[in-house]
Amino acid sequence: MNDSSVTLDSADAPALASNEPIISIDDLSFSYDLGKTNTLRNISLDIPAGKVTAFIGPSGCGKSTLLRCLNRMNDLVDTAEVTNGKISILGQDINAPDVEAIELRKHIGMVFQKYNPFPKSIYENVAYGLRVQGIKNKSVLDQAVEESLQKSALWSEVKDRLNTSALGLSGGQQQRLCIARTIAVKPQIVLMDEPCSALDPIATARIEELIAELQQDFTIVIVTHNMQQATRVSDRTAFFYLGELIEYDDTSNIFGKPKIKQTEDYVSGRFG
Amino acid sequence: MPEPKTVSKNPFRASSRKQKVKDGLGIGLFAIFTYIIMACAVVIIGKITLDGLPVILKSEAPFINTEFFTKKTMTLNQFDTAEGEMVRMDNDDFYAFKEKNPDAVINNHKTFSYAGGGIIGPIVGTFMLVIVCMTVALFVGISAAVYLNEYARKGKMLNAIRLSIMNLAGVPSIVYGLFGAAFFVHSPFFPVFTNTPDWEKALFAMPLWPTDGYLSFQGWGESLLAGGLTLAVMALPVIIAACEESLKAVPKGFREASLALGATKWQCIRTAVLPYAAPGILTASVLGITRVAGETAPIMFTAAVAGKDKLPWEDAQGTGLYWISDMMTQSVQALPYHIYVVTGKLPDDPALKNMQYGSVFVFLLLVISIAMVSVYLRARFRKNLKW
Amino acid sequence: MAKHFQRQGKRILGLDKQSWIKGFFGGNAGISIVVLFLICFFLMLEALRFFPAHHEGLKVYRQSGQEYVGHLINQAEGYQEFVSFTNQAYFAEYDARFSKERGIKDSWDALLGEIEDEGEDLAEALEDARDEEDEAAIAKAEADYSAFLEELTSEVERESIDSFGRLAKHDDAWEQLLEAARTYDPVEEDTPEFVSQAVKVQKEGMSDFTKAKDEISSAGTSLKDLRSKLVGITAEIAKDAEADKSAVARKEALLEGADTMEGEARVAAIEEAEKIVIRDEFPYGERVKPLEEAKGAHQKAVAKMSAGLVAGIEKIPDQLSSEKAAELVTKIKKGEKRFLENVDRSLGQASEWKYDQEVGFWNSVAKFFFGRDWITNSSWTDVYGLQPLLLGSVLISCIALFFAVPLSIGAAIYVNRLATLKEQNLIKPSIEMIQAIPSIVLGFFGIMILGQQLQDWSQAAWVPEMFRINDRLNAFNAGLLLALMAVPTIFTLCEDALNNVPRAYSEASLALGASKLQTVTRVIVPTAISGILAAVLLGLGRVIGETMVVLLVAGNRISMPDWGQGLGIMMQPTHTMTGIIAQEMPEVGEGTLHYRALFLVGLVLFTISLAINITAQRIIKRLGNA
Repeated sequence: MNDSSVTLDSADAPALASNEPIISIDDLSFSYDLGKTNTLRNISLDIPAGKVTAFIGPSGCGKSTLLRCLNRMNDLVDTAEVTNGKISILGQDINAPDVEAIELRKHIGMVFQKYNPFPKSIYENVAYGLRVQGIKNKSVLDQAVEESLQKSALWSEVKDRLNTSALGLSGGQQQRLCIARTIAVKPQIVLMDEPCSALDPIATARIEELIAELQQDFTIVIVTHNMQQATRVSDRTAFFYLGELIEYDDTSNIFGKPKIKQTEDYVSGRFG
Repeated sequence: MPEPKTVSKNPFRASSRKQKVKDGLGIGLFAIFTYIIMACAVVIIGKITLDGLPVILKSEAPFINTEFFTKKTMTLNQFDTAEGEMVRMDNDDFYAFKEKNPDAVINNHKTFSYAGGGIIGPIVGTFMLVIVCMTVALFVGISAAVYLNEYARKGKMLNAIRLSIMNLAGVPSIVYGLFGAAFFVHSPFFPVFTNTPDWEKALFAMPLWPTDGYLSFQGWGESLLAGGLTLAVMALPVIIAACEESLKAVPKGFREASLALGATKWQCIRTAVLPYAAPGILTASVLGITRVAGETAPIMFTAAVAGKDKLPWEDAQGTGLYWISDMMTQSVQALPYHIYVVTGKLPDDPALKNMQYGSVFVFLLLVISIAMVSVYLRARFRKNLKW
Repeated sequence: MAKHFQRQGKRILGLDKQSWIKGFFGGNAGISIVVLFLICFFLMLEALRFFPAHHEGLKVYRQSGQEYVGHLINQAEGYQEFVSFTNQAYFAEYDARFSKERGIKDSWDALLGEIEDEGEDLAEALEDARDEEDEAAIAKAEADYSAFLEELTSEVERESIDSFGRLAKHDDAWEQLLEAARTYDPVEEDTPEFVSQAVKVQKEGMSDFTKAKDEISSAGTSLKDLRSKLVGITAEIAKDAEADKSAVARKEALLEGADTMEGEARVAAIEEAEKIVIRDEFPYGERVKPLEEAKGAHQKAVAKMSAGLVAGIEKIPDQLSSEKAAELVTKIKKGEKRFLENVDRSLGQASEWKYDQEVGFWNSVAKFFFGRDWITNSSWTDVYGLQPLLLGSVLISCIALFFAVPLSIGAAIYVNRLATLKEQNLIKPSIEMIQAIPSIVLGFFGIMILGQQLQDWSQAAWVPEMFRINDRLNAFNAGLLLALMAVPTIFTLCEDALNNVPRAYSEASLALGASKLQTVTRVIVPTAISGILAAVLLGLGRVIGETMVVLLVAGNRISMPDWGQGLGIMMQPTHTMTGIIAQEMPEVGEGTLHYRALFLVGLVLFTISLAINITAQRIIKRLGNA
């Protein structure tokens, strides 16, 4: 047992054939109350690797719920269950009995609506994901921390105070720290749940820049309220309404020439 | 690496068994800790119930040993009859028996104080102490909570009051007992109505014309009042905290609406706050009872006596105010103190077993049921908190 | 017009109704401050008056020479312990070596007693007959008597061998004994040969040990004599000194009384009053002279005692057939050196005693806070030392927290983060039920059930020697029960603290691939640590202030913990600060030194609990906002 056996690099993940979607959702229905009412209904969609996919829709449309299905965060709710269909990631049905949610989450990182660094030092925040995987080697950790902070464009701002509390950073910095923390474990997919909603416009712009850069290394799925943001950062966009997928297409098409009336109404701001 | 790689099409299979085992062990350990605690409670309550229940039950109708609840505590007699059979009976029965059979052979006659009869005295004493305590504590506690929540502005005064309340909550009960002994029992600041003032102790005594009695400032001595007030002081922090919680739960909008309609502050509190806080305040009072009913230390030096043949109202002298005053300045028996006497102060003997287990069981039943009521009330109150 | 927005209604003492109502509520809120203040005030009022009174007592103790005699008493009592151990060892050995001989002697004595009791009249008749030298009467009396003996012995033989105890095992001797009884002559009263032989054997056989025993017990006699003499003298001095203080008042009272009398009674009363000497200062110096003079004798007596002890112990035979005796002798030999050192030290202290040496006020403070003894109701002098009680409280609290902290924190974590909803709904109310169990009931459980059970369990073979429980009521038993009392407090506060950890933290951790347990141990617990710490502290506060359980279960033995026993001190009976107040308070008179000492203990307890409370609040405040 040495440390390198734990997935630090994504080498052991099965290579995907080009064009094959990294996430494939097939006729998915999901309920928060043991099937009495379905929060998500019959959703099918394929998310391509290496792209940014945005989920948009009015509040309560199920976009965040779908996102949380992808890394099985909904497991935390005792009465939540997938009532129909399946989600395949990297070709694996993630609700299969031999799938370990913990392992799954190591491959699929998540950034939350409200930045939530731990009340620990900046360094420990970034190193956390690696530490829980059992990595103790200081130089491996140092390297991973630096690399992640570089990637999340935070390094130059915090390199002199890595051991101070993360809660002393500004909001935007804290959110970037959360992104650094997420990518430190080298996931293949990063889920972002309205990552900018708690930030001011300047901080938002920086996060959006960051998303564009991260796109090179990760597949990103982002839930957003802000349609401009979707047009700015995403390649593909899915529009949800009342738990159903209404339309899913290239971002330019959704905002330029939507096929469905509801989508058009929404993107042009006529309801919501 | 000899392990065939083909097995793992699933990239999310559990990779490290070690972590899983660790998790299982850790969670199991916490679960075991939790259930150890529960087991302790079950063993204690179970054992006491098992041994105590037979004392208060009997085989024929009405199946409840009413004597145990209606008789006063008295001496228990144990002796062997001529046939060599061991018999135990309390003083009442014993003298009746002797009167009936003057020639009866009584061998190995032994007596045990406080171990015979029933526990009406301790039960009545405990109830009266709780009533005195709760009357005072609720009055002061609710008023204080209203002030803190409705009137007080942030400042030094408020901080000082809150700090005092928090610190009062942590004072050991025996210290309350000492305080009660020095303040309520021995200090002469507290008046009694009496015909015969204790001139040695009294600060002064005011003659109350036209009766030939006095209002004598001579302290309360070991009494219902002293014990009840000591308990009240102890219950205050709990009651204030719980009342405040229920006042806080009343939405701000109610007050604003009431004030905006031109109500005075007091009208606002009376009509828009207190009615909605009432269920919470009820919970608070029951919570307060659980805190004080089980206490022994504060009443040891302020109210409780080991034995008394009369209930407080039977023993009180005089009429009217004098009668009330005399009753309230009687010392009383109390269940917890009675238990202490029959287990801690008397040499242990099998003859005491009935009294011991019976009293403990009744006491436990009483306290636990009050606690259950408070838990239930609070749960209901919290659930209904959606205005 | 302007009147519209003015206050309306009557004013009383310049305040309107609303202000009065506010004042009423405010006043009630202020009661909590007043009560806290009153508690402090009344505790201090009684407690702080302890020191001057105690100081006065210590002064008299020194001046009257009681301090000096105290040393002497300690020496003599320490020595008495050796004497009693030696005696016990002696008799144990005696029993072991000569159980048969002792049996013969004892049984003979018992049998003889029976014969003399029952046959008194017959024996007198025989004696009378012999005196009158009437052959026929003698023959008759003798026949009667031997018939009586026959009957008695056969009855004894038949029925009650057991009551003649020791001999049942040795049947031949028993037969011999009965034979001797049958031919017993009440006039001659001679002891049968084999009985006197047995006595002789014993005497000779024990001679080695007897010498040792006698040496040891006789070595202490002169000190003992000195002790009783000096105790009398000093007690007299103390009494007279006490009387001296009230002399003026008494004289006045007598003279006043005399005024109301007539004639001879008046003269007698005045005479009596005149007899009362009023002095500015009690002549301690003069009165303690006998003590100064006795110093030499004391030295000599102690020297003799020490030498005697050493010599006596030397003489104790090495080979002992009784195990118990051997054990005792080892104990004696072990204690010998320490005792001699102690005696030397205390002799040194005694010789330094001077009646007129100043007793510092701080002495009375130090004696209370650092005193190692708490002795009340003693025939000699009461001592109030906090140490054994404080350490007892601390010891029991440590035991309680040792069990309560992991259990309740573990349970809080489990309930708050790991358990299912169903479990939560079962466990939380149950733990509230535990909180409701009155302490007296737990104490009852400890005294009636747990104590015996623990003692039985501790006898199991795998339990290390030092954890064997000899006393049913001990610190460990009390500690376990207090642990159960502390659990709800720590659990509830801990759970609150865990609840306050934002959900976002655990989500973030889980999203990073941490397991539930990792999330708990690495994120949630560290975040809640200040709350948990405060919970533990408040648990400590609850435990240290608990009374009824320790009063009933801790064993109430006041002594410094014997550190030599290692962790075994947990199994010793102990006493606590709360326990001593509850136990002694009902028995002391108001305003006595003892009463005040108990209030002082209460004040210490109050201070400790305040300190704990304030620290806990600080921790929550300081770390809580991080």
